[in-house]
Amino acid sequence: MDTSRLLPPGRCEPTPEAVSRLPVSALLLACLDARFKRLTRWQGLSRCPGQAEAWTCRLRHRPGIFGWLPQSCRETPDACEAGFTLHYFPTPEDRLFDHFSLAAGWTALGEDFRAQVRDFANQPALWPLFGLGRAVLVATRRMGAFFFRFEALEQDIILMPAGLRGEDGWVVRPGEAEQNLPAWALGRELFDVVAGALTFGLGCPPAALVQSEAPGWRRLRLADGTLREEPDDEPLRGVGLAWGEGVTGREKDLRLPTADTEHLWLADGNLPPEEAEAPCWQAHDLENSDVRTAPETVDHRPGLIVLTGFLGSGKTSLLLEMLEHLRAHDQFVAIIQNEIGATGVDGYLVDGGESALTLDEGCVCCTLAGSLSNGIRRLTQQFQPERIILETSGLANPLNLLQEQDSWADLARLEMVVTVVDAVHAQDMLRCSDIARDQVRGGDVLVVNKIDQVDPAAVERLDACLRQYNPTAPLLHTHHGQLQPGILFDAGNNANGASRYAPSAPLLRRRNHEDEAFNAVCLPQPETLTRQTLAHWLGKLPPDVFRLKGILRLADVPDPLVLQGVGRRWEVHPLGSPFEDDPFLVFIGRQLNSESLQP
Amino acid sequence: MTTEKNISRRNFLMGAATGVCAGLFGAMGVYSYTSSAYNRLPKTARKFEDFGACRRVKVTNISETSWFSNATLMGDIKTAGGLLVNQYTIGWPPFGNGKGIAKGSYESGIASIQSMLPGDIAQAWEVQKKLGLHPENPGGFSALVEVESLDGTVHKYLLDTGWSFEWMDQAFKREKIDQMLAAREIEGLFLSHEHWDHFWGFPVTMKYDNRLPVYTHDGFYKEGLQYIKDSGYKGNLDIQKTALKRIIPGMVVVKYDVPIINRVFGETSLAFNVKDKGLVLVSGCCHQGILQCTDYVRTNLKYDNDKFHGIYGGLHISPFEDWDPKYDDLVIALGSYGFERIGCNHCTGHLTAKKFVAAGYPVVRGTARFRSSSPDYLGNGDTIEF
Repeated sequence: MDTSRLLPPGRCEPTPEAVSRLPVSALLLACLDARFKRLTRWQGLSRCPGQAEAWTCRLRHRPGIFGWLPQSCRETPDACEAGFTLHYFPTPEDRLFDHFSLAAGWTALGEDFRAQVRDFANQPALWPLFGLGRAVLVATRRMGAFFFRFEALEQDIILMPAGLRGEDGWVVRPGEAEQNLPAWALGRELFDVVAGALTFGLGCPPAALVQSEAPGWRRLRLADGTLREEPDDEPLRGVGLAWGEGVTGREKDLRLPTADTEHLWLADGNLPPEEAEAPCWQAHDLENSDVRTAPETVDHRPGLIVLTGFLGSGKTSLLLEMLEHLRAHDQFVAIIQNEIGATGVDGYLVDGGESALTLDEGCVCCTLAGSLSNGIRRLTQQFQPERIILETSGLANPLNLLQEQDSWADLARLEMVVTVVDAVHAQDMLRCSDIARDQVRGGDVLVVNKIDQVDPAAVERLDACLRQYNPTAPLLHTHHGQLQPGILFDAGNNANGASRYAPSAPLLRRRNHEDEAFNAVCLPQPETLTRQTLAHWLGKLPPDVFRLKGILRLADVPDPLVLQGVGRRWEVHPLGSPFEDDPFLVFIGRQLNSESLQP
Repeated sequence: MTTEKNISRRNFLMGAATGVCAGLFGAMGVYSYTSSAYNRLPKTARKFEDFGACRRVKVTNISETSWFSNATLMGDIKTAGGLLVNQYTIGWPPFGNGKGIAKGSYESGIASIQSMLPGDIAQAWEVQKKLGLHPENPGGFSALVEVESLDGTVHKYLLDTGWSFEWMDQAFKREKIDQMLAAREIEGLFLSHEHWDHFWGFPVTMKYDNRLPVYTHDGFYKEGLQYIKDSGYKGNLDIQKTALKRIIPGMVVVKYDVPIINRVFGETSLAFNVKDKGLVLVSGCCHQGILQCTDYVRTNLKYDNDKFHGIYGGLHISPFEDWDPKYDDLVIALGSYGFERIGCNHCTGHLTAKKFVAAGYPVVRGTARFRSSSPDYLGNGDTIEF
């Protein structure tokens, strides 16, 4: 057992405050491992303002929010002990909403409930309404052993003998339960995650498990609204886990104080089956996790995020946002960019350096099996990224890509398809291009960009139009691709795209850019080009040029410039980094030929 | 007998007028938190610990380019086994042993250069160029912190000591830190945490002054403590065990006990009370996140105007991903504190720094010299004054 990762290595004895802090430290460490997060269905954590050891968190399978609140910490002659209460705050749509008391339900419907929950450590009125049970963590003086136990009623019941009538019916029938909360099961979900984190941090599973039961109670709602507690058959249940040495002989730290039944299991024996699957028995060795009980942990493939969207919609801006967000969270991301046309521009804009790969061999949706698989293979061999973002060319049809995913599914795990939609041009493109329609259909999340350049009514019409092609994907609105990336990843997690990509989907080849007569022409930049001559040239381009990109060296501007244009609008701005190659322009449109494009 | 239907309680609660429910539940009363389960007080009182004041704080970035290729660094970490691998085993200089990635150890690494420390760090680094992985990648973080007391005396300190012996020696010479150390003008070196890019350049400081007070904390592992000895340190090593340590009036070191990537524990930040202005926070990485940093300081310390005046460092909200991604937004969070002067280093991220500027925050921009890549944050050789 190694305590030096969870407590300051320069100390050989814990303090009560350090024990109070141990659950959140253990979670911090464990969340550095993506496998732990997948195993525990971890969504995220927020610390309560002003109370660092109190926090709320979400687990993926529950819509509501869990809360963890330190209550006390003290020293005893041979140990330091911290006590906590566990809470759950349901959403109105939660299946569990009706199991809470009326006052709890009413509070949960309040407008600022979410803000109150984030700050629940400073909102004592919430604690008993949403309480599940109690936990205690004990660290012995020489840190030879840790004891962690949880207790809660199997069902936390409040009966209402008089019932409650609404206008035309019973809200609670007389004698029925106003509250019937599965406190034990729900509380165990949170406790088990923290126990798993302790196993992860200590590097070993518990040495002992104690299950105990004691007489429980229920409460009655009296006529004057107060509560009376009375004994009940409903048991109070307890579970205790111990890590380290010398745990036998200290069962009192693991069982309920008033226990009338108790079972002890040592880790080398056979654990009761309902306990054996808890994360605390697996988190120390995620590499060798049993693929039956924890399949999510054995998947080593990087996640693949496909970023698609029509020409000039703003994919690269969004890509930059996503990259920085992931890097700030210490995630290693590699990029594959696909540029149709012989020279890649975006590679210079994205500060990915060596971990960005540009696939220049035409459109990835056409030369799929070869280049994408090879690209993924090259990146994973060289860098072992956790995630790969594939920025497709603006003319790529993601449905082609997805239908042929058999060729790369063993290399990467598809996470989501993000489709960026240009609010200015989308309606036109959806009308005339099958590829644009498929990009919308194929998206798990639709990001409507450039909303600052259209009026709100047009955005509404566009949303309605997008919904026709994709009724289920979340719609996010941005300008300049500026989107808090966490919101994007959250939306992607919640979108249900899996069914769309089932291998059994019909294998029709979707239209690709050649079918729609899109092509790209790359021209070298004329040697003496000034701002004025550039403006003149671009002003007389044929209407079939839809997209324009390039890197330029103008005679009257010292530094290299990036040229970006969509439709009739174009702009230049400084590249911001050195550029050694020859300046060029890439024109993308329908049936273009180089003669018609000369200056 | 009528079989009256059951009303869904959700509908009842939503449909009933607020007044009805308030009356109902008010009458139900006794949802008190004073049951035996709840021992804590509902609000933590602020402690307002007075630690004095100073007149001015100036931070000079000696180097903030911790490394030059993120892809190389992250690639090495991933190949070695990920964010939980012990940094000393990865195989980076100055602890390379020639055996390749993830086969390193402190002992085998130091053996190759021990005899050259700290007198001949140039030779030591040359040896490591052959034994360590990607020797062209290390840079390092180090800052000069000058504090002017109320009586006019200026105290100089170093915050961290970088990574590459070669790069840091160059940077020290460029900013004249070598001369300041040799003249014993620098009153202390604060080692914020044990990470490679903040600490492994320790022999460079030792080369010029191996007796200055060095402040670490109880989060350092035995390898780190041994490295301090092996680098020829002969002074008084201060190992902070408490959360708060006073240095001079108006200056404290705050310690955050938090596990950090690659087997590192705990980080310290410097907090100053600048007279008539307020609190200034200076940190290297701020792995604990600014939420926890500002929370702690606000709960415990007393500072002028009860105001957050300035902040410099690697600005991250929190080491955790928030369950509500809206709140994972540093741009919004930082705005809520009302800082009057903000300086970021590269840890903050280009786009984020740009967004601060775009949001009109009082960001002090840099000059992008000496291999720092963007003027949106304070780079190598740049300064900020509070």
